[in-house]
Amino acid sequence: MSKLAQSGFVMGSLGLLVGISVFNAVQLNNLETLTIENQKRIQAIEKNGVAVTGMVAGGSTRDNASDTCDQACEALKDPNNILVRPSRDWITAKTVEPGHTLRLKIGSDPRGLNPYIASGADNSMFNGYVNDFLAWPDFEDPSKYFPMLAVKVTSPDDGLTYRVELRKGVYWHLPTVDWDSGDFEWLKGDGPRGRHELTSDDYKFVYDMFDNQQIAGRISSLRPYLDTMKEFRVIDRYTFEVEFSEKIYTNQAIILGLHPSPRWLYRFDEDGNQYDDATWGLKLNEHWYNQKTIGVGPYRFVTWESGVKLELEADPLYWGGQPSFERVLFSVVKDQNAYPRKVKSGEIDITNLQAEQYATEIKENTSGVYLGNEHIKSDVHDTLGYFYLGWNLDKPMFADKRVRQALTMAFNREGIVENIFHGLGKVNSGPFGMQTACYDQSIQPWPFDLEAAKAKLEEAGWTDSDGDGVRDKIVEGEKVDFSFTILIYGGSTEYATLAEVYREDLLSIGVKMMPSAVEWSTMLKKMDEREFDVYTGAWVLSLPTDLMQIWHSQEADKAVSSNRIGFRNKDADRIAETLRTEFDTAKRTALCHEFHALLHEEQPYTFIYQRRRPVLYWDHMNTPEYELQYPHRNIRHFSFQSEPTRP
Amino acid sequence: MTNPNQTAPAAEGAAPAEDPTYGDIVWGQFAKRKLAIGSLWGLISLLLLATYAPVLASNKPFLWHTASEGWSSPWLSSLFDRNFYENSVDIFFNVALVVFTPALLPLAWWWKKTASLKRRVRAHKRTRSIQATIALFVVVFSLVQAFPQQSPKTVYPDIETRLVEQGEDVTAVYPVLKYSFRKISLTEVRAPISLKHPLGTDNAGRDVLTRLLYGTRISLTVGVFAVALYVTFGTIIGAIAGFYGGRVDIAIQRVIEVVICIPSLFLILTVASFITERSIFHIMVIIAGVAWTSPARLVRAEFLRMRNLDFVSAARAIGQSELRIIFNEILPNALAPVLVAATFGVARAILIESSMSFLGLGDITVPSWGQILNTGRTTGIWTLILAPGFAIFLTVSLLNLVGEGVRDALDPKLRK
Repeated sequence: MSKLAQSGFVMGSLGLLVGISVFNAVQLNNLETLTIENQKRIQAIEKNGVAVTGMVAGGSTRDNASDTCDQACEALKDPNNILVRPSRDWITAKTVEPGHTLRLKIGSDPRGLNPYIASGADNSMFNGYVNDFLAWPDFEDPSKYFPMLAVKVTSPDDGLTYRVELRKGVYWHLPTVDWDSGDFEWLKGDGPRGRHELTSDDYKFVYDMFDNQQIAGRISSLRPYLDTMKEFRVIDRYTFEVEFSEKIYTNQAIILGLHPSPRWLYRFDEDGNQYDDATWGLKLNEHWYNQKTIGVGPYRFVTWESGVKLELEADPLYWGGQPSFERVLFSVVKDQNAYPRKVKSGEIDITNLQAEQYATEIKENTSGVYLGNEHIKSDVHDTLGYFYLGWNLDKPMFADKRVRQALTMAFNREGIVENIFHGLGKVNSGPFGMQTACYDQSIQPWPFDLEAAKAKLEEAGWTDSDGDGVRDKIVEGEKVDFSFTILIYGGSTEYATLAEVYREDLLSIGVKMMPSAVEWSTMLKKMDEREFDVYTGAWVLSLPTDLMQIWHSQEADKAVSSNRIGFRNKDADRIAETLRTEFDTAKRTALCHEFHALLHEEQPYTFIYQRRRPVLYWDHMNTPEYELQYPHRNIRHFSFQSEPTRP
Repeated sequence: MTNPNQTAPAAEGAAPAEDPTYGDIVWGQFAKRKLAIGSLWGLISLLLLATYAPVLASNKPFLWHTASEGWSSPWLSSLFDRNFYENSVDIFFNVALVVFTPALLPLAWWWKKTASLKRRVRAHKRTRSIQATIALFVVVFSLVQAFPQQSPKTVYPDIETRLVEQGEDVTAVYPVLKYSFRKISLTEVRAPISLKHPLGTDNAGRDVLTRLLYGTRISLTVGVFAVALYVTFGTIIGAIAGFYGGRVDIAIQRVIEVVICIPSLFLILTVASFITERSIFHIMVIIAGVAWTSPARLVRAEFLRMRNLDFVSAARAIGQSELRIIFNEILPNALAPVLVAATFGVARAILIESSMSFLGLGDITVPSWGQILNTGRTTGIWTLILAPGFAIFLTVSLLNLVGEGVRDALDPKLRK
């Protein structure tokens, strides 16, 4: 009897403990919601304060914009101009009325904000808002560019020299400094409200930075792309010329995609003293303004509170007209699991989701109402990039292309994308974005076919001669079991699951694979030192296409390069080199297709899929028009179509 | 399990009642604590669950018969398949399954037969039989390791359905759960709780209950092995420090202080991140590497207390060697606190393994409870969080209750 009571007591206390844990979890959740709501109230008060000033500033913009259009319209009539008339209004979007705040999130603090010193995707995103480029590529046809800071770009000798004519009447923002102290009067220019005008000297300074090897940071990773740049000539206040030593297709895209950088700010220390010519590069690395940024774009940098937020405000004098929002607020949200909650509370207007969040919030949601609010909408859009397995071709085991084809066919990519990645992607077969012309739609991915994979392995000489269930082969006089290790990033369950699925399928065709989950820094080190059999990787692609970095054999011979798998193929080298200097769009596409077919046959990578990215957004946003590369990278495309519906 | 404290039945009673030994007293005290005994039974059932996991869950049928192939037992041949059970832990338990199941009947017979013998005779026989069993185990285990078996990689439930659809006559006898802890099924991803899958499936379509069962093996092994490893090491170090004292003691004490002044979880995480291909054995060694200090300190204290007692002086006087004094005279008397610490240590080791897996630093190929929990955390499937969480909670509680029972039983002041 007492035994029964005893066990009853144990079970009872267990039940109680479970109950308390559940209760605790619920409580914590509630507490968090409350905190978020409070924050929101405070922000609402702040917003109203700013909105008033925004209305006043908005008025004076229009006249300026109409002045500059004339120069641009004139320039577009020139048949030699490389730039073309934009097919749509893309610089600013329509808004209900000015004075609203766009609320976005970033996953972590940027490492700095100078576009040429600090690296990181977030940093280039901010500078994309704060600053402008010379021209903007049309993603539907990457060979076309719309005018931005440049109104006219000509190339008299067809790709060797570029002559750029800048837009007149473009003014730098006022630097974000303490003006009231009176210590920064030396930063004032002669333009309206003490601003400096954008001149060709601002691009000369960029060239000087490329030329100065003392400057480290992001610019050093850009230098290889411009190693053929020979000379930079300032013609007049608004015109400059860049001369290259070699005609290379990507030169034009790189030149047109550069931000200007002001000499009058970065060559001076905080007290207005100019750095000397010998050491200014070193000083620039630690420049006092590197934690802030400046530009000529639609939004001016206001403040950056580490770990909390980063704020931009509309520039009333922006040459492209009134920006859509009065303020842009980036909250730093380090916990990815919090994204949907932050949208729900109205703290952010739009967010991308993790695959698992997509599954719970959107895919398994049958009600059609997301996060319990009918004003929240969902969307899924394409990205430009792909996931792959990179085989170490220097290992004798993977040297035979039939083996690699077999390994690809044993990998259930469709099943993984459909069931583990929740259908957020398409299985691809080549190294180009599936939505670009370079991708040959006629080439189908290798099918998932274990029988065919077995046959290919037999054909390549891998048989189970000793009956231990694992295929083997005599390689260089020694019997080798077909067993290898896959290097995966340990921080993500997706990769672990992917490896587990692959492992089971491989075992059923007599190939043994062990996963090795490591942290990111170890993984990078192992990939760079080529200490792997196969690794899971991903590339984010850029337009226009350049194949040299990943596929050329000269990269395979370098100690550290992007061609980590050691891919050496004469045909691939030829195509990559030809593509580098080929300017004709049709011929480029043909070359791409040839390359695609070659890689499909060789399978140095097992292409897995091209990811699609799910988003949740409030319906007061217009249907977001995304760039391919980054989600909601360009807030120029954003606007509110109604008064904000968020709480 | 009879109570050794009990005197022999009167009918046989030529021999007078013997004096109880220390072990008898402790066991008698332990047996009086109902909660501790109950927990011990709970732990034994967990151990049995771990050992008999393939009997409960496997995708290989016990018996398989088709007209063309005749009778076979894929289940039996899969038990020692190194390609299927890649982990030595599984092979270990499978050997235990195969060796001990047939041994159960003679064991029961032996137990009954020896119950009437004198205690000393029985103790001698018991030692002999334990030695024999361990020897048998080691032989079978090495044989299995040396000669890996090849079993068909087929998923029998799939084939069965196919064959039946084709009209072929199939007889198959399966375990209760027709699943393997590792077989992926992409068509059954994230299945909810149902009769077919009592705890649903995970994000790769693997049956959660099956994985939980096999996870018992991992967790118990990690606990017991890691503790055995560090208790052995720590005891030897502590014994040397306590017995010799002086400079040896000072040197060993400083090393121990260096180890304990680093927060153990951080030390574990740092060491773990250096090993790129972590297996479950690495994790045991890592746990042992940080935890050996506590038994070392306990044993050292006991040795300091006992090394000047009369029985040690007596041992010295009759010329016993130092090693003999350390291991034969003092150590058996110094083990009581270590025994308590070890019981709690098993629970701690299980928790450390779970937290390492939870943080993504475990062995991802094994279905340990921490791994399942981690999958649950990242995928948001709630059964993957609650089920292993409850399993960990249960095991750790049982171990702690047993530990408390042992502690009280060893304490002369708490005798009932």
